[in-house]
Amino acid sequence: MLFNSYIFIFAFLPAAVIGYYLLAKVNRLLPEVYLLLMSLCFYGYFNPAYLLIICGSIVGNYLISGILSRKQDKLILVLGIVANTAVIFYFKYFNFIKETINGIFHLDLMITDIVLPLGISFFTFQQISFLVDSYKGECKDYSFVEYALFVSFFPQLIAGPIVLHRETIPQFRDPLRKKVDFDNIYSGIVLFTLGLAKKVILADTFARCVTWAFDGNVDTLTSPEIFIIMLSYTFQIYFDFSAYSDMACGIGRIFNIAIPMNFNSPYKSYSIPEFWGRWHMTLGRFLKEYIYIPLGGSRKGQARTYRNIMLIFLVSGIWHGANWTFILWGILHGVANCLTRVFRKQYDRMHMAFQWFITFAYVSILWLLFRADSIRQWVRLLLRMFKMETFTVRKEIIDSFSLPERGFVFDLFHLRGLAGKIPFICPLLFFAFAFVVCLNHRNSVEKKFHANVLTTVFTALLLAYAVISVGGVSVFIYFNF
Amino acid sequence: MAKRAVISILIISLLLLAVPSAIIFHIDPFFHYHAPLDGYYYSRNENIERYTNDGVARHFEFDSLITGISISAGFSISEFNSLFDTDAEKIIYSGGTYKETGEGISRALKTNPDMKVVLCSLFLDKLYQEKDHRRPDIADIPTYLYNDLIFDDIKYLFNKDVLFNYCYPMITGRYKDGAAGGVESLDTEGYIGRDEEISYFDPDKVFADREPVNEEICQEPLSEEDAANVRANISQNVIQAARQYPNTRFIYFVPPCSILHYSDLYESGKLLKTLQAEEIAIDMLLDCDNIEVYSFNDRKDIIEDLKNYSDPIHYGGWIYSFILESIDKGEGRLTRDNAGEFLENEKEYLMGYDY
Repeated sequence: MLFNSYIFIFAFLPAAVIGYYLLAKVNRLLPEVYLLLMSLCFYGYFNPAYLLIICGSIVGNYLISGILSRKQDKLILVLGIVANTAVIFYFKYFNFIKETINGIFHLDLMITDIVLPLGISFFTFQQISFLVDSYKGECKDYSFVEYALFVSFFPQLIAGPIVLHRETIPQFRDPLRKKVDFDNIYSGIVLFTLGLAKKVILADTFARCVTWAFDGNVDTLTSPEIFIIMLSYTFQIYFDFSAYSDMACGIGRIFNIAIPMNFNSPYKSYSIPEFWGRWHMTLGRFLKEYIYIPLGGSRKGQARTYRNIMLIFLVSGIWHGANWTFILWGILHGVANCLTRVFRKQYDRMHMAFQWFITFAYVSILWLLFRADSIRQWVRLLLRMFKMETFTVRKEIIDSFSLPERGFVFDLFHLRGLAGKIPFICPLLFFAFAFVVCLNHRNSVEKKFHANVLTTVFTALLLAYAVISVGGVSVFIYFNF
Repeated sequence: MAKRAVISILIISLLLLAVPSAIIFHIDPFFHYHAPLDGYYYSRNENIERYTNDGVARHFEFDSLITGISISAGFSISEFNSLFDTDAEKIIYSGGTYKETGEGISRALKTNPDMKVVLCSLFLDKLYQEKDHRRPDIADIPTYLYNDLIFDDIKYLFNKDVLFNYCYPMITGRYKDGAAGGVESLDTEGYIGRDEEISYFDPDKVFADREPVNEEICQEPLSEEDAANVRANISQNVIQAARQYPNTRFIYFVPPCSILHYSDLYESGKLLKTLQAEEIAIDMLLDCDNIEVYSFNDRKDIIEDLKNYSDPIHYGGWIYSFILESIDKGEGRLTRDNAGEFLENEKEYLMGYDY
């Protein structure tokens, strides 16, 4: 189930919230059990078969952590980590490895149809961190329901953040947090609304032209088109992730659960290391705490430091997806991190505007790699973009920024003539707005939303507008009969 | 304050949502709730046929139905009416599946149980698809418009695309531009006349550009699973409605696609299984008294003449006319007596053709 779906907004979320607080009046355990069951329903909505995987993973890891809590056995810890890694490896990377072997050795290993369970990368990392902490003796005596809820709590389940037991389970246990707090509910609704609007109005609009480009039109893209697609994907992924983080934190607040910030205006960064301190912060935290520091971090000389940095970015690349594009994307971010450290003094002497530009350009170019189907395709796109041979931009790209309400708004403000004179007006407005939101606003999660008339009216308007923007009419594209 | 503010947000947003819902419910551009209103002009263009088809099936007045995938699109409704003495409507599922056409027929019959004739295409290489298969690759199918549940109607009512791209032009058309109301006619929609400027196949060019299929391509036979799919597909999506409405005349026809289509099937190694699927399907259909089956695959003069086609599958309007006239005369009809020989000849011809 997606946050930006009617069933979630109108049925699931109200049922979860109302049921949780009603049951909280009965006893301490019931609301947790209810929230656990609702989270599993949320997860199994797309494919009930996924439930077997997540339930098996939860039970298995809980048993292993129980053993580790009683006996600090490194072998069991390693086995636990290997088992988790093997599961994620099978679902996410098995076919990729077979394809790679087929390509290198000209073999014909059969590619099986493996459906990747939603959020497996998130809940697996979360549970690996739990096993490590159990081994260290940092996990208290958590009940099975508490543990299962920590893993499956639906706001964070399918797209993060990667939460830690020590910041979540104590909140589930706190009886004060099981009481209705309208300040938090208000703040949560405002945050959720902002996230929903970002997703359905901004991210999905940028996504349209990116989808068009990668849906059979990549080879014919002109230089400016590639630039537009690259920038669009840069904003698509930003607003998608930012929206999801806002919605997750907003829902958490409605339940009086503080979900850690995962996203802190990353496009304001002046360097790649700063970018990684602001983008997917909980993944960075995981990689730092559970890989970088155990490997020695920056305490064992420069060479080891750079090796460790490269290693965590390699893991980050692999974690993001099963394709060489993701691996190279991780490596290139690692390289940029290392270079920034090496040339820190020179870098710091550059003008801040230039630092920002370099960072943003580098991140955008690597987002194109992240989105490309192959490294070769990315290289070709970059070469074509920089060659500047053709300067046309097709109507399909311009039209992908035209929202359904365009005609109504233009009529309302008598702008039809202007739109005729400036056909690029919609894309221009979108990009300008995107830059303003990314660079000129404080991160929504940081804000405290206090109830007042202006915020209330604005939220109600935005919520209604976002809700009617959730769906659409999928114009039938007749091809391949 | 916070409690009041939360309640206010919920109430205001619900009230705001009520406005577009009321407009959409009233105008109902996809005919989900009611027949078209006087004064508004309703589009039924092929891009939104998946959205309008169910509403047309349930809320339009007609006594016969022309349906099927795109190879049924070019039938002229008026020609059909004059031949069969009907008042027909056309509901097309371009690129569709048996699930979709079967569902459309059932929904139409539910509200029009006294339907006289249902004319539908029997597209051969879709026969072995799963009985509930739809085409997620061509569009998001709006299944919320195909059921009677009111809960999922919010996808229609809370939808700014419907509001601004469909209702708004209808409102401005009526109140601002003074355009006449009505419903877009599909009478000759998809019908291509001989005199129309359209790039038909130039046989010389097609065969010059096309690599001859020299090698003998191994033809995959129909598997047990495929055969089960054919039976389930025909049973659920064709025969079920025919049994439920015994007084309705169901006409299924095998579209006379060009030889290039069969060449493509041959090259993909799926020609044999397609013909084997056809045998099973026709055998099942002939068991029903109110189902008539027609095939024109013995008309080599048509299917080998590429000037009849705009692509390997789609034919010109005169072929549609030929199909209707043939059905009217009972020509090309398969019966228990001739089906075996016809299918044997067809297999021999198509499998033995020098592609």
